[in-house]
Amino acid sequence: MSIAASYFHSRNMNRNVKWESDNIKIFEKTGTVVPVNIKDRRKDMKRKTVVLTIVIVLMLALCSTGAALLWAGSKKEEAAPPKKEAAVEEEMAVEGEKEEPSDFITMAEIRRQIDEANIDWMQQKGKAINVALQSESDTWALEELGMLDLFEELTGIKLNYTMFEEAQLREKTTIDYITKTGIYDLAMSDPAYMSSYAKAGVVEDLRPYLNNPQLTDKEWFDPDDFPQGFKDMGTFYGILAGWPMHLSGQMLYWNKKYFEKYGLDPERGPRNMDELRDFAKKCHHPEDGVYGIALRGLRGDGLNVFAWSSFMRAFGGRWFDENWNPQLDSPEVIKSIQFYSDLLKDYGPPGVANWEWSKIMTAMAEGTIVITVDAPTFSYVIEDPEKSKTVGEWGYGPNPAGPKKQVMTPFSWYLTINKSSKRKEATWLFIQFIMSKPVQVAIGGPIIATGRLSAIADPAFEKGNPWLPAWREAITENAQYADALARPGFPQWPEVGDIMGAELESVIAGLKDPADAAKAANTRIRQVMEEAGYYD
Amino acid sequence: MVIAEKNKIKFLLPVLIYLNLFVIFPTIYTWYMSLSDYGLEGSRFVGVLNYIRIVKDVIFLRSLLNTFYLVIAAVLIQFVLGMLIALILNRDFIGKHFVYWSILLPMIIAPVVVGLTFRILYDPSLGLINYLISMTGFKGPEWLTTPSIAMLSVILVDTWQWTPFMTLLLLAGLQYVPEDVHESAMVDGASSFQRFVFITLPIMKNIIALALIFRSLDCFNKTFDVIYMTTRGGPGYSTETIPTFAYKTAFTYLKFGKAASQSIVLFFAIMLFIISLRALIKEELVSS
Repeated sequence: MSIAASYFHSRNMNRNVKWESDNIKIFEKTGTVVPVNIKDRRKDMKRKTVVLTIVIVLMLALCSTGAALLWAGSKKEEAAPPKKEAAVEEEMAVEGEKEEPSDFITMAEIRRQIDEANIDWMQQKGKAINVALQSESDTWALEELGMLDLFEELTGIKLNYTMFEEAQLREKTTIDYITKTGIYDLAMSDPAYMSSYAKAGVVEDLRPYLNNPQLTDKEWFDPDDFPQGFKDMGTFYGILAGWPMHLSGQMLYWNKKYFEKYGLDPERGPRNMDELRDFAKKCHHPEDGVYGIALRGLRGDGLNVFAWSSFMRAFGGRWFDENWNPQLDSPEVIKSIQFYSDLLKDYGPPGVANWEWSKIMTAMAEGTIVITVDAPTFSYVIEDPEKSKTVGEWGYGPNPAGPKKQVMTPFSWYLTINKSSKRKEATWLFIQFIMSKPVQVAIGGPIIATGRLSAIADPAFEKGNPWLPAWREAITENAQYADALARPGFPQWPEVGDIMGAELESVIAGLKDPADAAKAANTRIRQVMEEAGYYD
Repeated sequence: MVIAEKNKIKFLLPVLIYLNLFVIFPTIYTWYMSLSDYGLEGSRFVGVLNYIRIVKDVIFLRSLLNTFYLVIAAVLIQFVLGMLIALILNRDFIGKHFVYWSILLPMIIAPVVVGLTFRILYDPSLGLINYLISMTGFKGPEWLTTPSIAMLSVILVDTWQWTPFMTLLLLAGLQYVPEDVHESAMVDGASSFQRFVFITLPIMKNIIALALIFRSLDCFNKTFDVIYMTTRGGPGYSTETIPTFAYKTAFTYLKFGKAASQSIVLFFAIMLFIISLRALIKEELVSS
């Protein structure tokens, strides 16, 4: 039957009627053809109109409720007082000025410092740039504090920014690079992928822009305020492919309240792997809904491999030898896999093999896990009274030491300029602006982990953040243990890391034992490297 | 009709343009990509090298197997369930219209949203499903992290969302089954099960074949969203299907040529599958 015919047929589910159109009805059993009664049709139409009206009214009501809620929510955000109480706040209230962006620096002060720069901010006026950002605390802070609007006002450059999740960000920028369309002038990049980008020549070398006196006031910008190690992590094949956005990596967290409850010294975190296991065991009480430790389990080179890599190095393992032969089936690596997975299997929450960092952070804020080793930026959420139930309960420390050494896997997001972009100078101005001292101090307030050493060390942040000194001490000590070889940057890393991540996840899920997983990973990684031509 | 005959090309042009742009050209380009080593740096022609490599790859073969396992299991379950629901909906009862429309709701939701929602629901500690199970006294399994159960969880999500699709098609097919044949069979003393198997099913053969084919074609590709959102390929590689693996090869490993060749292999596998499905049912399809 044709589509039109079946429409008429199913229009009326009445099984006595074989066919009904606008004018005639054919009855099923008798085959009688009857003209449709006008009165019936009118009743029918009336019924349908009523139903339709009700549906439309309901939908309108739903939409307006939703819109009203959204509007109310945004109003509340604007009117909410700054999260941290600061005595400094009173100094800042200037009559007639709009609300301050941050507790730690006034808008007037930001503008004053920006003006100090010996460059013409308006030199790229009228251009428009497209910026791809990852959705996380740095960028939220930039947006919430009005820094992005300030940039537009200051430079006359129209800023179009989009916040992506990590995977989508990578997807979009990859397509952009491959087709060389230059849609995104600036993208936040993961250093693991930047080596591929640098090798393929799709990102711009930043040094000419940095050294150009027209574009950059080097003295004011102070590039040495960024740790050399992090700048090195962004250098591949001789070019500085990206500018480090923040100093991150790992840090040890422990919940002091639970430590005290279960008979441990709340001020002393686990210093080595044995203590880590021991403390996790003591704090593991699933009957109370409290789990000893949570670490990243979900497969991914930036997920479980990121967290595990410091353990691997601490046990004395390494990814490759001098000739790029993978070393993952060595006894040290197998031991680290065993330790990591046993820790999670014995003292971790159920389903931890599926957990990535946001789940860990949520569980910390809920108070269901006690210990973790993960990104320092979690403090933004877990010490925020609006987002966390465990404010003020956290202790901070450096990564626990392994049998061979104490290791922290460093990490940062990098700002890269697209080589196909037609507005590179304007993009560089954007980078210079958001990485400048005043802006970093402004966003340093809420999130603390900025890219500049001076901003992190600023004592003004301590007001309202009583946890800060301990955090800062921990991160400073931990920075000494940063090991760039924990997550090596070479073009095949994403595939290598993903393979390892899948094997690691299967061990945590109880699917394989560590030795088998390590051997399987090693074989596949060898295959990948061979295909890429490393052994010719 | 004469006018239509004379202006054949003009009428067909919009469709032809669309097909060319969005179907034919991408397919040919994918063919080309699969025969080249296409990375960030550009492409160079390498012939069938990609195909040789992926055939040797254990993970690829595993994901091919997983794909077919997923599709066959999901479509079968959806067919049975869809049939049952269609039979029920064929009768009249109070509130039938409401039930009919509310059953259609899952189809409207974007698969990504469904995947994300079920990820939270399946979580052993935070999720609703295990909580409900625990109220009956049993301990719920770890849905997404147990290798044997992970695939079943994905099939469950797919079933939840797409059974209504089968229901719709099968219900439409049920309308063509004439009452009188059933009545005479009842008079002759056939049980309802016999009536179903010997009268309803044969008459519906066309529609059943249509429904199965459409749903399988759908399932091969649409499940990407659900799997990506829930397990990312699974504990180990237990829920890795070709779409997820090809996506990873393209956007994580940055090997577009290899990903294209994986897609082409899937293309041929699906073609074989559909041909064998049709041969199995042996009908005259789409002649109406």
